[in-house]
Amino acid sequence: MSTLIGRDHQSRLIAKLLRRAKFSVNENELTRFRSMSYENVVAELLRAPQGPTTPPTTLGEKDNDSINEMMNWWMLEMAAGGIHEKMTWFWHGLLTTHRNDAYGFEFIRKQLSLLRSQALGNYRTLLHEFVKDGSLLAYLDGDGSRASNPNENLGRELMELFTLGVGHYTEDDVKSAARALAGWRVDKDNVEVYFDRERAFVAPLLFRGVQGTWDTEKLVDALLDDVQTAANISRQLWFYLGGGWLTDGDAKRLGEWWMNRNYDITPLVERALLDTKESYDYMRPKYGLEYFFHYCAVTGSDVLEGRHRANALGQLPYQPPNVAGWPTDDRWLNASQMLIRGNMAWNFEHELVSNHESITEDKALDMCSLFAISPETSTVLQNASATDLDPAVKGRTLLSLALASPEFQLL
Amino acid sequence: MSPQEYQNYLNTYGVAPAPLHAPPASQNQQSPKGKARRRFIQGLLATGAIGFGGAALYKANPTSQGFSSFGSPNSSLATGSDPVGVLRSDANPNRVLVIVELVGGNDGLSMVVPYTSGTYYDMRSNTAIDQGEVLALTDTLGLHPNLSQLHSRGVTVVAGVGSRFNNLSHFTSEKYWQLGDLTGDKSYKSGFLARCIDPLDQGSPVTGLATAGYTPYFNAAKAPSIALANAGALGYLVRNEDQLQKTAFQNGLADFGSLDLESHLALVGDSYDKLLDLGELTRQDQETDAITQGMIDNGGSLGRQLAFASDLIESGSGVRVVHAKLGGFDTHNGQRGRHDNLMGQLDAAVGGFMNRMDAAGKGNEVLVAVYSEFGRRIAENDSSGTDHGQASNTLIVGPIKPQIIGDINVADIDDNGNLKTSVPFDSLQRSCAEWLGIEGSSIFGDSATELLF
Repeated sequence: MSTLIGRDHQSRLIAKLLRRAKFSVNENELTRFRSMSYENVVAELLRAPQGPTTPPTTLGEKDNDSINEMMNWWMLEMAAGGIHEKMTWFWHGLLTTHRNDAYGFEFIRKQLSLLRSQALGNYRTLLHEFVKDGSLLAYLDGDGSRASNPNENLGRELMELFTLGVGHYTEDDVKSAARALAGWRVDKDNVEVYFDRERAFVAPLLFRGVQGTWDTEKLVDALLDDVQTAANISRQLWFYLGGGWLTDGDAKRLGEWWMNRNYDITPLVERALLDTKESYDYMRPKYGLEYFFHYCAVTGSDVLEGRHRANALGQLPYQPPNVAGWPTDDRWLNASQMLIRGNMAWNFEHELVSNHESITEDKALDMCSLFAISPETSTVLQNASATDLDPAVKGRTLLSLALASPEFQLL
Repeated sequence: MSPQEYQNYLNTYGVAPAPLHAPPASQNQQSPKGKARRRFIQGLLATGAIGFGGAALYKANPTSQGFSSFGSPNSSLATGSDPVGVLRSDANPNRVLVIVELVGGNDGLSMVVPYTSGTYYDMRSNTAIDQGEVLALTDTLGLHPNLSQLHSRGVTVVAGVGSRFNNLSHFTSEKYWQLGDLTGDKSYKSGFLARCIDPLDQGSPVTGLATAGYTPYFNAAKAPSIALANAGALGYLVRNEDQLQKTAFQNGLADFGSLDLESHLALVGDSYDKLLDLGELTRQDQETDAITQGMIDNGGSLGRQLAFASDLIESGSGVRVVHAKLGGFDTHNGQRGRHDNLMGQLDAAVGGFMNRMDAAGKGNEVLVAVYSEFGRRIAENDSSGTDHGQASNTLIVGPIKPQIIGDINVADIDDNGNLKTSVPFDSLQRSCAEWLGIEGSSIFGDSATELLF
């Protein structure tokens, strides 16, 4: 693994923490927090108030315009907010829905309110509500599924994505789950979800070795009572917060620990942030939106005016590429992505610092909250510093390079 | 590239073109330039030319209190991915597959017209293509009159191509097409083109090119694939020695990376290397030749996309798979004029593209397959348009025998009034993959074993 050069130990720890717990990190915030202990910063981040959980009723001319307005509202909340926003995005990636297949504004608003209200709430509560969510039932074909010939999509994804993970259930489990979940209907006119008993399965059913009368409640509870679910979800959350990919054994231990806390999300987030205090600085790529918001925070670019850039980066809310949400792995570090990010780094409009002459090598790194850099990046900045460019142009170039640096692409 | 072309390139650009057939490389391959500069930096480190002062050094995976490790930054396990496709040893490394997607649901019956069918003319009083206008291919099928370039070149028709799922949503159908999921219930994580791109990776700057911007199921592969609409997007990567600031920035990009080839830092550095290679290969200042001008003037957005794809293919960038799009096919009303216009654009764009490939000596190595997410209903609606349908006709242009594959019977329709599928679309996709030299079973499993060509 790469060896990094540390510039200032306390700044490095706090910057890493802020990057992981928030979308926007800037110099002023870092200055404020760096005088506190790491543990106190974690506590303060968890205590920070959340923005409104329910999006405002925005009125566009068409339903699609209303959804656009709501997404803009959410993006501004993300840019300004803290750990609640970061966790809402995690749940949206895990429990995802595409706006084109979600029955429109009112249903998406309901779902987003649910994700926001449970961002640091309880996963059992969240999942029980989520499988009965109108947008989700639309997206995964749960709406109208009949036990006599059920649609298997929702049952499969419930086990593959929301609970156990692939490889931990059988095709027979999928068939049984599909039957047990059948009966949900969405009333689009009244924006309600109801249960149609005529479509439901009433006879005893064998699910994961247990013969009984299964319904949605029992099914979700049974899946949550399996430590594999706790291990699978907590491992992904750990990774999302920059803790790296745990081994199977560690994931199981973490899952057991989480189950003992009844799937409460706050203690798990707190532990992930505290335990990884001394971990390596760059455990995973910054995802498209993470780069976007951090870039806006550093350069002062307007979040909504730059929305097309988030689109080009491949990450706009409620537009996931597939039912599994966005990639979480190294696929973000490809030429296509770096073409866009490099272009943003080259073309930034800087409103936060008026005199570019003041941007030195160190200043550029400070602005980008980079306190652990590779020898190669150090060399790149030294070389740029040594050119005989006009000082203002040089300062601008140094900031471009810091924004384009491999370190700034990583969480 | 012939020796003469190689020399011309060298004279024009002052640098050697990227090798057309780079040797197969391992998964974490570096571009030659990347390797060279890494050796250079390693040299500096060894001689102590890079000083660290008294700074602290941080490594990944230090000891931890809670767990046996913090976990690894390698997240390849974090997301499911498809198995990497297998390339046959006799695969021709020069072949290029171009997929042209007609977005919105093309009326295949107006593109490949059943011009002797009474049923067709009975049901299409406002949108039918007159018998006398059709460019005949066989006794029963002919091309839209605006497809004259393609008609004289010779095309392969796939008649009755369609899906086996019952969903006429644009998005759902497009998704399943891109995934290569005929029945809409498979567990593919990436698009079928992305699954093709991986085994074709030869370490070139770019293997897969999506010319219509971000294309979700295209970009999921490990191999270098890129969504790029035109050379302008590469602007900051194109060398210009007069622009000192740009040069300083580019020099920085070229030197980013890491000595540790497994690290995330190296992946970013390699991406920049590939982009800079592309920047050097891109000819922004070149005069537009007559063929290209025709593509741009008459081929609409598709013409510009395929002109750019031609540039990259001819420059030796290593492009093997191209995904281009032409929109506007959702002709629920006033179909005739709109569709006629689009057919003219398709003809100018694809015809011009093949002419450029011929001129570059690559006409026998490039296959263009046209598809749309679904066809349109045979019966017209009351707005002189057609609604979403099922199976349709489509075209393949390139070095395969002109023929009619499958069949279409406009009198034999399903319960929803739609044409029935005679050729499953994944057979067409698997045939294209096989044409590239990829073992079809490695990316399609047991599906679509019947090859069309």
